[in-house]
Amino acid sequence: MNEFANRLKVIGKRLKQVLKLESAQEQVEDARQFNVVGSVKLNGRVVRVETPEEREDVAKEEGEVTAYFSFPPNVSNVVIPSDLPKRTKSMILSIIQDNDIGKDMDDDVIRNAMTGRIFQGSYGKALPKDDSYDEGWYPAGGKSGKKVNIEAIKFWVEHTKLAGMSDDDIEEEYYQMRETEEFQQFASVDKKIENLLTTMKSKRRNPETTKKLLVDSVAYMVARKLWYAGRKPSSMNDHEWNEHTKYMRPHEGSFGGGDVWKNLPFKYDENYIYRSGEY
Amino acid sequence: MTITTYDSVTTIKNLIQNKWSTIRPPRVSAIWEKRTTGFIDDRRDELILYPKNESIEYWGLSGSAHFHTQLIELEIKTYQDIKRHNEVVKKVVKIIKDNITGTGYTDLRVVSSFSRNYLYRNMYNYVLVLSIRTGDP
Repeated sequence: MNEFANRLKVIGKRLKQVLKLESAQEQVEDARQFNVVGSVKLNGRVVRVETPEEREDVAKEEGEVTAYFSFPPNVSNVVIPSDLPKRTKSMILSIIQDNDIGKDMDDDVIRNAMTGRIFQGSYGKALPKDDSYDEGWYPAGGKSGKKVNIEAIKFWVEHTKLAGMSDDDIEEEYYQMRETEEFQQFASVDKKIENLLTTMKSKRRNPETTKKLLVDSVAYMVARKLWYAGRKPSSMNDHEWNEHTKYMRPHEGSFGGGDVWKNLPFKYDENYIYRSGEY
Repeated sequence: MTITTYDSVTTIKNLIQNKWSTIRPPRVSAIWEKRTTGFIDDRRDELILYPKNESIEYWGLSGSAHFHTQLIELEIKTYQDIKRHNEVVKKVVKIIKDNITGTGYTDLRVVSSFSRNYLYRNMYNYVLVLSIRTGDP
């Protein structure tokens, strides 16, 4: 009788844990509708609980269940009241993560850059068309295996991505970027950039040099992300693209041009979580 | 049934713009009015409103009425120092809290907030996420 009661207790506990996992998974799935990337964590570890079977299996372990959503590096002190409806929470998370495909290169730019041409159609503030993001660009140059022309990407960064930014905006963007680990890694790739950085630090601020540095570094990182992680089509959300391509990513250093990850762990391995507009 | 996206931006803009008696008012603009050409030493504090998602729920029987929830991102950019920044953020939150209900909407709330100061050098940046709800706009 005692044994029966104990077993019942265990089943009850496990059921409770399954319900918690289910609720966290529901929040993650609801957020996905707004292109928010998140995962369920058990005792601080990411667990896969997409199906009822997986949830039953994971529920054998006791501990704290949370729905985890990463925030961009410049965001801090996030306050989201816990009693808000799931839908509102998802909408808030989409504002914070801001995974916007409009910040990535469109099909025309990538297609031309792959063949070494500079695409000038989106010069200035031309708005993207509704079919601008139809194609999926797979990691490692997809079928062709080609790398993009960096000059073409620079042109796009200068005339589309940074178009409409005032000198002040550019300066803030640059300073913000300079603090990130990715930028330090980028600086170690190219001797010229390192020299330019030293000059920047020793002289007064100069909008022209700042812009040049920003264009160079953003173009490099954008091209590198395209090589290692590709660019999703608009028909998929970030999560779907991540699941679809995470094992297609090429190995560390294959981007070439001195792409060495000395001080940082390599970012774009299969554990990297794809997010639009981030690089 | 119509939408509330642009009306709610105008409502909030008017609300915030007119309540600065004791401290210097910042410039309040919707994202489509944001100035992109910079002038030298143009460091006036700026509040920018970005309308985001609008969710529409059926309210009355057979969808005869609708309830709209509009989320708006309010970005507060200041340049002077943390004291001034704190002052502006507090004032904005106070204005919103004072106007939890009003004409043209059912309720206006701050549903989330976060700071984007961390990597900036010369600027202070704080974001409030506002929810404005309206029945049958």
